[in-house]
Amino acid sequence: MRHPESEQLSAFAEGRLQETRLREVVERHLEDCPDCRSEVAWIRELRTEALSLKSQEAPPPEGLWARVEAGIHASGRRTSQGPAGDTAPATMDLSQARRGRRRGGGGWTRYTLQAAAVLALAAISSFAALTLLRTGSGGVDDPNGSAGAPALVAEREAPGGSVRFASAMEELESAYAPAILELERALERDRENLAPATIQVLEENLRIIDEALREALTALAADPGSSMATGLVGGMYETKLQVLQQAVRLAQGV
Amino acid sequence: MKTNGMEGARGDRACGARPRMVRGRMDRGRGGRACVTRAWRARTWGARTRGTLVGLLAGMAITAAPGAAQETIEETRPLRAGGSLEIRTMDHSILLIPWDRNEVRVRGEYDPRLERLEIRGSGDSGESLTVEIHHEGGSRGRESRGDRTLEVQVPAELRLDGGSVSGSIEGAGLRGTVEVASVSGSIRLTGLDVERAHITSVSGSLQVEGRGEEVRARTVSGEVRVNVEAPVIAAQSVSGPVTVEGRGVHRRVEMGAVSGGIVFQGALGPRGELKAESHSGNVELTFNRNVDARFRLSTFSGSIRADLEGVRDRREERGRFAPGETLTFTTGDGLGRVEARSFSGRLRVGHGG
Repeated sequence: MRHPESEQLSAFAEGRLQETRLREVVERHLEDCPDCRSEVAWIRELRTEALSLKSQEAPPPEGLWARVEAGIHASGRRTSQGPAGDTAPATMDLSQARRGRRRGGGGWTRYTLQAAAVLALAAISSFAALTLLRTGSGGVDDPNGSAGAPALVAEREAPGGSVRFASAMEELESAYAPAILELERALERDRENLAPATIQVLEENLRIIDEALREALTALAADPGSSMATGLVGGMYETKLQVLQQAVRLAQGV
Repeated sequence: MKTNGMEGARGDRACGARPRMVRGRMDRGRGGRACVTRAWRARTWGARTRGTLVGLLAGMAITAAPGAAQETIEETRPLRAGGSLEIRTMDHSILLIPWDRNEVRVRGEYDPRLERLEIRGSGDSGESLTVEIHHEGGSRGRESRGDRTLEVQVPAELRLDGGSVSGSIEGAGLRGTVEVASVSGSIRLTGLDVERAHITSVSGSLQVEGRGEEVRARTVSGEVRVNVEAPVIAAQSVSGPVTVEGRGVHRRVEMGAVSGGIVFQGALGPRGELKAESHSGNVELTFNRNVDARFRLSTFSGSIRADLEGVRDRREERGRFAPGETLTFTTGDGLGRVEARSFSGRLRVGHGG
C-alpha cells in the first residue's frame, strides 16, 4: 500500500487539501490504513494542543528539569550511537518526526514530542529558567560559593561544556519545533483573515523574537554557564509560541 | 444589566483639553485631530485621571477620519468584585479604570465593516466577562483606523487577563491578579495592589508601579521599569534596559538581560536572594540599607567594583588561562545571597538611598 506523503496528510488533517480528487484518494486510503488514520488524528490533536499550551498553568514540579535533561542526554547518546534509521537527529522538523513515528522506530514519538514541549515550556519559563542547567560552580544556591576557579572561567574551560549546552539548546528547539511549525502553518493558511497592518506587526515582532533568540544563543555560546541566557532562550521560544498562538486565534476568530 | 447601545460620546469636542505628545514632551494645548494619537500613554496619572480620560475618549469619538464608519461602543455588563475579566484587542489600546461598581463599562469605537465586537459574560452572576474585538474575515487589504482606545471601567478587584496585538495597555489602581500581554504595545500599570502581576510584551516597554506578592515583567526588545513593593520580583529583557526600584524588602529578585543594562535599587530581606545578570550590559546594584548576604560577583572581560561596608571573607580569583574575575565576600550574617554576573559589562555594588 502506498501511503500519502506527510505533507498531503498534514494538509488533509488541517482541511487544506483543496483538490477534490486528491482529497478523496486520501479519504479512501485512510479507511484502510490505521497508521495514517492515527497520523491524521495526531496532527489534529497536536495542533489543538499547540494552541492550548499555556506554560503558567503548569508550574514546574520538583526535579522536572533533571528528567528533561536526562532525556536530552539519553537522546543525544542515541543520536551519536545509532544508525540513521534507528534514531532521530538532535534537531528535526515535524515531518521528520512523523516519519520516525510511522516507521515505529526509536525516534521522537508523539508522546515524547508533546511531553518535551510541555516540559520545556514549564521548565524554562519563569524563575525555574534562571536556575536551570546550573553547572554547580557556585550559584546563588551553592553554599560553598567560591570553591574552585572563577565561575565564568571554569565554565568556559570545562571539557565539553559548550557542546553540552549546544546539544541542550538543539533539543530545546526540537521540543518547541512541532508546536511552532503547526502554528506557523495554520497562520499561513488563515493570514488573509488578518488586516495587513496586523500581519505586519506580527511578522515584525516574530522577527524581533528570532533576533533576540539569536542574541541569547550567541551569549550562551560565549558563556555556557549563563543561566540567564538559558532562561532567556527558553523565554524567547515561549514568547514565540504565545505570539503565534495569539495570531492563529485572531486569524481563526476563536 | 444595562446596555446603552449607540449612546456615547460622539459630538463631544472636549479633545482640546487632552494632553498630547510633541517631540517626546507633553503638550497640554489644543489637540485637534492629533488628539487621537497615543498621547495618553505618556501622561502622568493622577487624581484627575478619570475625568480627563472620559474627555479623551469623548474627543476620540468625534475625530474619526472623514468617511470612516466608526461605531461608538458603550456597553455595561455585570462583573462581581474578584470576578474574571478577559479583554482581547487587535489594535485598540486598552485603558483600565477601576470604579466602585460590580460592573464593567466598555467605551470606545470600532468599525463594524472590518471588526467584530464580542462581549460574553456569565450572566447576572457576574462571575466572568470576555470582551474581544476581532478583525472580520476577509478584511484583507482594508485597514481599520489605528490609535483607538477601549476605555474599560472595572471593579477595582478582579482577575484580569488582557492582551492586545499592537495596542498599548494602561491601568491604575487595580487589585487582584493581573496578567496582561501585548505584542508591540507598551504596558503601563500604576498603583497596583495585587497578589500577582505578570506583564509581557515583545517590542513594547513595560512599566509597573505599586505593590504585590509577586511581580514579573518580561519584554524582548523593550525597556522594563519596575517600581514596586513586592517580596518576589522578576524582570527580564533581551536587548532593553531593566530597572528595578524596589520598596520595602524583597525575598527574591531576579533580573536578566543580554545586551541591556541592569539597575537595582532596594533592600533585601533576611535570607533574601538577588540574582542579576547581563551578558554585555552593566549591572549596578544599590542597597538602600545594610544587607546581610554572601556575595558572588563574576565577569569574564568586564570589571568589578564593590563599595559596601562591613565586608568580610573577601576573596578575589582570576582565571588561569583566560580573563575572568570572581569576587566573593560576606556582609552581616551572610544568610542572604547576592549573585551578579556580566560577561563583558561592568559590575557595581554599593550602598545608596
